[in-house]
Amino acid sequence: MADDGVNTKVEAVSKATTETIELRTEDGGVFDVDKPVAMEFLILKSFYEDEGRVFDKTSIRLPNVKQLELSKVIEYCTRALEFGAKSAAAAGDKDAERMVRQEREGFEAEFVDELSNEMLKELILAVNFLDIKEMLDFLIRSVANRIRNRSVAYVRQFFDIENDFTPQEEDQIHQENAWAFEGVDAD
Amino acid sequence: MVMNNHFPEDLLLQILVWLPVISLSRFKCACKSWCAFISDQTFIDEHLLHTQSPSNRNKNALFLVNQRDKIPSKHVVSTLSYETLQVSLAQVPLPSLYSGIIDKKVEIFIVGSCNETKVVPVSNLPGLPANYRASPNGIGFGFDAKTHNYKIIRNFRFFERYPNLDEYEMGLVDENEMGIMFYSEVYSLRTDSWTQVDSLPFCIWNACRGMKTNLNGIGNWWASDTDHWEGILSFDIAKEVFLITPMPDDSLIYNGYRCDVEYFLLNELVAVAISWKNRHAEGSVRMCWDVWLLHEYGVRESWTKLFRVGPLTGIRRPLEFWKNDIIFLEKDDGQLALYDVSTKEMMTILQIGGDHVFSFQVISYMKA
Repeated sequence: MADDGVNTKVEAVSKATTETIELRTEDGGVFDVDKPVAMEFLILKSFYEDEGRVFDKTSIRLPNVKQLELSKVIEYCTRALEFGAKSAAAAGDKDAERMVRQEREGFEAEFVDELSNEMLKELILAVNFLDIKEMLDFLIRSVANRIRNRSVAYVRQFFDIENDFTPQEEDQIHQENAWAFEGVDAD
Repeated sequence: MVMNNHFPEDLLLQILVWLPVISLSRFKCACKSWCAFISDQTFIDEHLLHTQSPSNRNKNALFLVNQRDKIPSKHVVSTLSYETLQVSLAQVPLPSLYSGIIDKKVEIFIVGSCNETKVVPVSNLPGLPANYRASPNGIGFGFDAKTHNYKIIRNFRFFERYPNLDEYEMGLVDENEMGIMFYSEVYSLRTDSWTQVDSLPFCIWNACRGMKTNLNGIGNWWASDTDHWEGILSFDIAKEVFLITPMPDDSLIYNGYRCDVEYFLLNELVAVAISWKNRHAEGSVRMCWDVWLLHEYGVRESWTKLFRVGPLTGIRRPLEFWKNDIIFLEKDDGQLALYDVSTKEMMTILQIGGDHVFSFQVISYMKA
């Protein structure tokens, strides 16, 4: 019954807030974004607060963001706000808190699993531009997890790095750190 | 420094601080600028700061379990992840030279996180008069965060070689009548040399337990002197000075009932577990431990009694704490167990135990 109460609360919040803002991406995408979600993008938040503007349905162009990335960002931020509300509602109840936490972890694992390396990098750049701290932390940790057990070749490919070592130089560094090459995931 | 065309350096830094040392060492091979970046002291500091921050600390932490097996020269070191207590055997094989001494092993493993073992040069002990002999009195290893330097602190007692060794060994000799000198020295990795530091006249008990160093760079032992004083002897690694704190209460000084004192760290503070034996009605022996926590070095009144563990049977001694109210225990049959103080539940986690007394050592450990 506590669950129902939480869900009703979350629905009420999103229904009451019908204010949206139109965001246009550099590749022609147009998105109507709910105000609470849009305010998670600090780049937008400061725009409104600095200029002292009234939040009206102005259209904002986002030069560094593409449709695919923006849709993913909106998806994540919307769910993050929902989890935040559920967490707050569950405060004090250890079991309920744990359930929310597990639900969130499940969502995040699935979210990141679906992202290719290229997409992950593009998302990080977009989220960095939009200045969304929580999502940026999440994506950064996800990249770290993805590469931690991988080979040097994998990492070079991931970050578009050119190997500027001579074979002898690379060999030497490899020797100095030979222990670090055990148990690495196969490419 | 531009590391590549696409990915901004500050974002790269944020990713790299999350990586464990083993990955970072490997990725030095990626390219020249990565190698330079990862090896740079500024990055190393950032990484250490990040790894040690309260929110991240426990994710990377491990317990090292050092076991002495029945075969005397064999040590096994296992690691337990702090979060999940998943057991795995250590990757680094320990140099066989050091198999006899437990605490030296600890020091080597910590240095060995970079898989570098360094042979420390022999120190210049002062010339001793012919009838004196030296006895090691505790050794500790730690990191001086202020100067980014690794140090070893080593103590000795020099005392007159009593003509009748048997009498001495049987405890029939009053040490006050013998000339005793205390000597301490510090080895610095930077200078690769030993220097003498001012010593304090205390004997370190159970030196094989090792010096317990907290993240503030203070190493601690349980110590006593010849006048029935007992307490914590601490060494500030950065300042290279000793501090002493007497034990919580005079009633706890060694007498017929008190058995042993174990010392360890709990939330960066020094804790001691003082044990008593309870002879149970049926004749079995049960042990109790009172756990005290020291909040301020040198201030006797700042000890607080946390809780009592037991009475329990079949337990030899407590080892370390995990997450505040769960404690590692060494059992009489040589197994390592976990005991929850609040629920009083016991669980065995390592079966590979040895027959030796004090065959376990559990140290919390973080790779940096």
